[in-house]
Amino acid sequence: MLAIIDLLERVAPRLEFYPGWAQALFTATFVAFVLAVVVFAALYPSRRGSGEAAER
Amino acid sequence: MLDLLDRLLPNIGRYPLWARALFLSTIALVLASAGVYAALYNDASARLERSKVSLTITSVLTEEDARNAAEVTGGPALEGPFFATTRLQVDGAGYERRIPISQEVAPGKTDSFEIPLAAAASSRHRLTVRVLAGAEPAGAPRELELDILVPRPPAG
Repeated sequence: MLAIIDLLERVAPRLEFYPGWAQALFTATFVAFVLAVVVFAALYPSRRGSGEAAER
Repeated sequence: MLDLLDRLLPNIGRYPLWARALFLSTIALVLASAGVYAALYNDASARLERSKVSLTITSVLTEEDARNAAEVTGGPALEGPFFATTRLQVDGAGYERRIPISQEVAPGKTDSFEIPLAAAASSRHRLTVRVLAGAEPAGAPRELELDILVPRPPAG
């Protein structure tokens, strides 16, 4: 946990000193990552269910 | 990890095309971000260092201040406090930054702390600095005006 906090403290102060386009890229990546996790979790049961149904 | 991938990969093939495109785009964005972050890390670090300034403020604590602080800390404080850089807002107004100090200072004695401040761009700041012992103010607030100059990076 301390290593993660140390990493965040090292990363976060530098982010605002990156160019605007790089900050936009980081933001888009974060949004896409969150969206992908949500989509993956939301569709996972139905995908898994249809797979199990196909195996029967 | 391999077991997790084995469990996930067969299912990913059953996701709709748009979902797989989203997953693929996310992976590409993560790789691109990691590359950009690494490539520009030195420049960003140099800008961060150039933006740092520091202030020295001395406050002599009274017996009452020491009692107020002891009520909160409840015992001996840590040695050698480390302060992360406190970032000031370039366009901010009426905001507050709290910097916890965990250090034992005997009544009537002084100690020194270096608290780095930074701003993302050249800017003028009007600060009110309050030293609190516990929840109570120790001494009068100090009004400060601070001009931060962030040099532009050398051309090329």
